[in-house]
Amino acid sequence: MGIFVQTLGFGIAAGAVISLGAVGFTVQFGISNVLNITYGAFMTLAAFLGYVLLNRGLDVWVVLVAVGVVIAIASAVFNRVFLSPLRGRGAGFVNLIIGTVAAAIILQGVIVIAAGPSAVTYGQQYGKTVSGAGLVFSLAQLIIISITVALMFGLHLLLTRTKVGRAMRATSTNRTVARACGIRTERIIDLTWLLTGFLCGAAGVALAVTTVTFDFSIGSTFLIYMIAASVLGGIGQPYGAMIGGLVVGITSQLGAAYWSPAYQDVVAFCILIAMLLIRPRGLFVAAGVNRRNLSAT
Amino acid sequence: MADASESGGKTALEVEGLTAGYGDIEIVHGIDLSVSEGSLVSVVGPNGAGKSTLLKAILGLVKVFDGSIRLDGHDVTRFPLEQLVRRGIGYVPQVDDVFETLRVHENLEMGGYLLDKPTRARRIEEVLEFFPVLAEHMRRYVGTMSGGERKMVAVGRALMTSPRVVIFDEPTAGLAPTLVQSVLEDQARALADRGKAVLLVEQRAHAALQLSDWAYVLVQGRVARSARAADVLSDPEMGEVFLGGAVKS
Ligand SMILES: Nc1ncnc2c1ncn2[C@@H]1O[C@H](COP(=O)(O)OP(=O)(O)OP(=O)(O)O)[C@@H](O)[C@H]1O
Ligand SMILES: [Mg+2]
Repeated sequence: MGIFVQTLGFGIAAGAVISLGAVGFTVQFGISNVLNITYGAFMTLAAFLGYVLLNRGLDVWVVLVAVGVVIAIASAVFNRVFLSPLRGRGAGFVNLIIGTVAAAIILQGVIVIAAGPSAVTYGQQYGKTVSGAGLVFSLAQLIIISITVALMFGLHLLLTRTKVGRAMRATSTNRTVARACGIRTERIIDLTWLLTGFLCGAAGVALAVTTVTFDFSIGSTFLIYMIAASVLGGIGQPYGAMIGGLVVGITSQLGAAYWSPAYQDVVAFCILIAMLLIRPRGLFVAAGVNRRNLSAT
Repeated sequence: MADASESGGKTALEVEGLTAGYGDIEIVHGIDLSVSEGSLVSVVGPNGAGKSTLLKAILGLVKVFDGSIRLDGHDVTRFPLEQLVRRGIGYVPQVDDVFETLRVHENLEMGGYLLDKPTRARRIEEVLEFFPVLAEHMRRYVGTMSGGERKMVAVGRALMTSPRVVIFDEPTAGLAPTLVQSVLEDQARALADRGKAVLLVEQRAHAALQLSDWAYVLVQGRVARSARAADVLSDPEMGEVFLGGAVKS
């Protein structure tokens, strides 16, 4: 029982980072309809930027916001100068994915040139632990979990309670009809890339803080988990991705604890496949709803 | 010269010398067209004639090479769709015409995105007056509704902004034959009778022309004929235009 509870704690901490990243990924996909593989490389960039800034002694909150803003702008620019024109020239869904794969490889290469190919270790300034109800969290993990919860709550309010949120949902569902409602979809899409880029950046910093040692491949490795979480939750569903992130985090930690760390991914992805067989559209997609898009329910 | 304006009130939408297409390919050439308040104007023509392209050019969805578009006398050439909507155009796209994953009332509310809350509520009442059937379905997901019901949601959504000009792209496409007449009559014609300027692109030329005031026959991207709908309908030559047969229903 002790092991189980402690593993649950690790799982929640790992899951929080996955959730944070996955929500950004899934919302980006839901609204812009681009399965953006470059998201992983942007996350690597965020992790390295976070690492550099944290080692300068900056506060973790400051670093999170600063890197979040940088990645937000980079993502919006990336969409404007690369993906939008590609789509405008008639690139289809698959070609766009290949485009983002290419961009991811290039960005990763640039990171290697700038930061070197070897792993870096982030000295744990947040090594203190906090315990309760049998769970033990490091302070860093607690910060990440609370940031995730706060950002999710904010996103929820944005999507359900604000005019912009409604416009985002409309744009994700049917862009032409959204325009026919008078919604300036170009702006909404820019805003979406800023917002999801921010989540990507925050998740990258969270990853740097919690992973301790990482290299240029961290984002692309992590992307698999985020895609799994998104698919599990029903692609385009922010709450689905959030729960999906927790499921992936917890199952992989349980797999590591009860079987072997070498198999933690195997366990997590077996569960993903089993879930897909049971609920092919993801856990949280309502019956009769069969399109990739953003929903607030 | 006789033109569409003789059939009704003042001209709402006026297209002059419009040349448009995709990339650098011109599809429609020098189109002149006008729609006045209270009239139903149809654009008919064989497959590939450029009917949809013409609508998309008016709606800022494809490239306009030349010519002008005026709305209530103001130049709106190359305005993006969302801008045109703000200025009084309502657009009902061909097939993908609703927010499928939202409920009926959410579709209508989204249609009233530009409005304040009380106006939005009032407009929903007006839409329900026009489509009483929808009142029973307000909480249904549009994705689960029949083709005819969906079309009502699509048109209702477009009416939320209380547009002066309503543009339909093939409203009967994909509908059961039994619904064709009712969509054209109870929606397109009824809106014209309520004073809207209605522009309709239709494959089912016969059905559309019977209800229309004015017709433009588009052939290979040019207006081959602009006349009273009844005259086009009774002209034996027009049958030739449509695949060499009679004007089909
Ligand atoms: N996206 C596009 N890019 C290039 N050419 C196009 C595109 N869409 C349509 N066309 C071409 O433009 C011409 C006119 O097409 P359009 O869809 O406007 O005809 P239509 O009159 O609406 O036909 P239909 O009755 O079949 O709907 C056709 O030759 C078509 O091949
Ligand atoms: Mg067409």
